[in-house]
Amino acid sequence: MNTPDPALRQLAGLDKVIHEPGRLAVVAYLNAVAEADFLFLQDQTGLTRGNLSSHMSKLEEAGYVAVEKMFVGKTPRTAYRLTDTGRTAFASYRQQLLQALGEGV
Amino acid sequence: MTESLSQTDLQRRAARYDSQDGIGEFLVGCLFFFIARAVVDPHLAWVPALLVFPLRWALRFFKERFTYPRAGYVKLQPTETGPELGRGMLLYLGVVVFIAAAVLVVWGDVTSWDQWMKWLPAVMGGFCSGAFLYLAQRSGLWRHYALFVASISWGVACSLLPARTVYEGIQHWALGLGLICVLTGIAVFAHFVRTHPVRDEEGADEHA
Repeated sequence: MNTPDPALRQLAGLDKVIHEPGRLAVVAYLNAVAEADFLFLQDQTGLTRGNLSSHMSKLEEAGYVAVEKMFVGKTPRTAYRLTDTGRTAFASYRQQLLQALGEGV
Repeated sequence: MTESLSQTDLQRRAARYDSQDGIGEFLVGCLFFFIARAVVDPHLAWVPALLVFPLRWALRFFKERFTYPRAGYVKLQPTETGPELGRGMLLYLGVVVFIAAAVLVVWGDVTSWDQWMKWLPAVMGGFCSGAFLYLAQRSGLWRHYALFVASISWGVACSLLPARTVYEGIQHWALGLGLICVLTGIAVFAHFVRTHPVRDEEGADEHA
């Protein structure tokens, strides 16, 4: 029996929650800032409202994103920030991807 | 300019996004007006120092009222810890004083108190340029680099202009820089409001 290529095996082990392009963009952004709201993330990622909303729910379910709902005056605001689990998962995802693809890509 | 998804690029983009409203420049300009007034009135000397705290509150108030409903809210990550920032500021101040002393050694008299007083507006301009340089390096915005240059060059100009007292030179510098900041802030804010209409709340908070 052939042994699977270690690099390909590493790719197969990538975190599926983060690996989706829309969620990857959101997580990469949230990793770079302290916190941000829906409008900011929508502007920066170019995702539609529905898409972004669905991605945020998945990230929240995975425990990668913490959600804080508040009112600023009469306006509701939902602020998102990456949890420690989310930051660790993103760092590990990044490391795995870099190792698997190498410098030649 | 091509930007990657590197953390530095994303942080810089977020800082640029956060500075796109011009409110910061407007408020800093107002602070310079108070400094200009306080320089010539000893009774008001403590006012600018006290105003630094309400400035943060005012910045947040205006951003919540005008910026966040239009462009969204982002809180930047602190890039340096307090002690690192303090050390950086002290080093910058030291460099400014060293350059001023070197200039006086070459073209003037470094031991003359009058010469130091004459060049005080330039030294002040050098001190304040550090804040603009910090902002510029964080956001990459050309107008922050322009304010960095304006702070120094206007300071040098005010030192060269004839003034009856040393305070007058500093007052001119603070008034001029305040005016530049306020006008920049108003122009940027007008552009921001025109290009960023208020979004509907339902869409902005769909996930909530």
